[in-house]
Amino acid sequence: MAVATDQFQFVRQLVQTRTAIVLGEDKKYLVDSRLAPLARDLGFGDADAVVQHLRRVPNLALEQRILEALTTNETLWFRDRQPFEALASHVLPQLVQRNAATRQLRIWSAACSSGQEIYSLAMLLDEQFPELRNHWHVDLFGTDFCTEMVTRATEGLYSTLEVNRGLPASLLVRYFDREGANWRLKPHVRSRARFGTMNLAGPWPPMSAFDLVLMRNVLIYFDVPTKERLLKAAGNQLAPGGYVLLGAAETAVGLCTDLTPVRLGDAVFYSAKGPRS
Amino acid sequence: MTMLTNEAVTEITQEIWAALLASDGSSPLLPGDLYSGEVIAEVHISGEWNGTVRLSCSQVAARHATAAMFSMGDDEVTPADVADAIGELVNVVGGNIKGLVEAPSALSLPAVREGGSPALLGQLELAQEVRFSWMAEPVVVGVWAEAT
Amino acid sequence: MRALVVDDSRAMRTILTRILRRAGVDEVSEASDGKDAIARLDGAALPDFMLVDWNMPNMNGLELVGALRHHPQWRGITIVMVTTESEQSQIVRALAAGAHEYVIKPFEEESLIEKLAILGFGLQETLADGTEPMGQEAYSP
Repeated sequence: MAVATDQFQFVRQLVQTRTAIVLGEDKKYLVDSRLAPLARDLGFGDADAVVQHLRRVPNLALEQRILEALTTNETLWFRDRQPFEALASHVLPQLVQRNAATRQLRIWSAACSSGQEIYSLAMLLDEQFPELRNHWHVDLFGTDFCTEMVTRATEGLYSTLEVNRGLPASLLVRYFDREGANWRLKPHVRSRARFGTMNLAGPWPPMSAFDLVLMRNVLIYFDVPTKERLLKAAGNQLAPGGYVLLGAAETAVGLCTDLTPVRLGDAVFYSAKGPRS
Repeated sequence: MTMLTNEAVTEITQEIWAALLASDGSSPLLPGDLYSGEVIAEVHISGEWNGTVRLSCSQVAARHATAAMFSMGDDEVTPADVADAIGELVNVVGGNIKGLVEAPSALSLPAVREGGSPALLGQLELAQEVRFSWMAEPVVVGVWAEAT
Repeated sequence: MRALVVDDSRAMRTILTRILRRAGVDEVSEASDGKDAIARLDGAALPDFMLVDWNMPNMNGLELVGALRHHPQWRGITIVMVTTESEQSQIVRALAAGAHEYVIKPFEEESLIEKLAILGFGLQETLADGTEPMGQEAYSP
């Protein structure tokens, strides 16, 4: 059964408060279709029941699951597009120039899920920065809280539905091999990335400084003090001249004074201010 | 090593069901035991590999699927709608199964039949069969291939 | 915005038309094969883009793409193939023949809209309110 008006309004309010995304009045059908599978997985009768439960028994875990179901943008390759365009036209050229002497480029995707973000970067680099293939050490590092996701990312195997999401067909034929009904990223792209399990909210292991830290659409799951702590830590993890990139509807403004927003292309990146402790 | 496995057929069918019939967040295809031949839809694959993909289900399942695909009520569904909807389902399932077998091969147009007995498949034998339960109704995908 | 959906399956035409209308495309016409598509284009207002199936009688999708790209008036129409054919070589052929994008069935509604967005057709995407795609407009430092 679809969500009743009360539950729909509750969901709209929740989404707006937590993620700043505004759900139009006409998007009820999307709420219904996104929450029905979640309701099933969790053993609730239907979408309406799961929202009603959250209203009666507020709990962060369920709230997060609902938010995740609603805000997981299906376009997982090159998610939101503009940041990748900005990376290609503005950020990466800058970083490559800055690191010309060391010939090193280090990028970390914190909350890499099944690898689409980091592999999107790998494809972008291969296509638009072929000079980095030789004599450069490019470290593309992806971490996720969920071990299963990390395993999936390492495999680099995706279903038809998954490769349809935001991946231009020209890149599909160039960088993937079809394997039955699935598609596997070619070995030379897969080998560019390494993955590990990591809980962002827990203590971070020692890591090298990164030229680019992507922390996209993961902060929405944390409370404000944790957000502040994570943003500060991300800033501390940057090499000089490095950037932090958040999700399209997220901001560090008001949460972290160590990070300065910089508009590059059509996207906002954050650089670390001044000397860091 | 063949890619035409029970697992592959299961995954393909589940993905297609979720994508084409997702309009109302409908239930997933669960593993099932029962078979129904009330509605049977087929596509033939011919070329480097020859065989038939058959989608069989109950009348109720066919009506539900049609209603979900066209975003209409179960009671608005006509026999012509069912033929179109189930035909498209077997077309996409068959098309994806074609991707698992030797190429190049071509897919026939789908044929959908309600009631009556299914056409005999002659020299072909059942290579894979996956039984699902969908909204408590039987949905079965069978792949017939030339005897090896 | 105007679109033409070309597929011999009435079910697929219905699905695609619904998706496009829901995303805000004002005019969606349908054709049942390549020949029918050409007949509909003849003398009519140009569609901004076309969704084209591969396997169709009379004139298949690949042939239609070729015909469109060689026609002085129609060569600028954006073409997205929507098909079960998923051999790498086929995708390459389709793109070489002039298709701008390729969607393999099964696909999700949002995936199709996103592919159109990549091609420059900013349609109503996912959960954003209004017609602006979810983006930096939310915050301008």
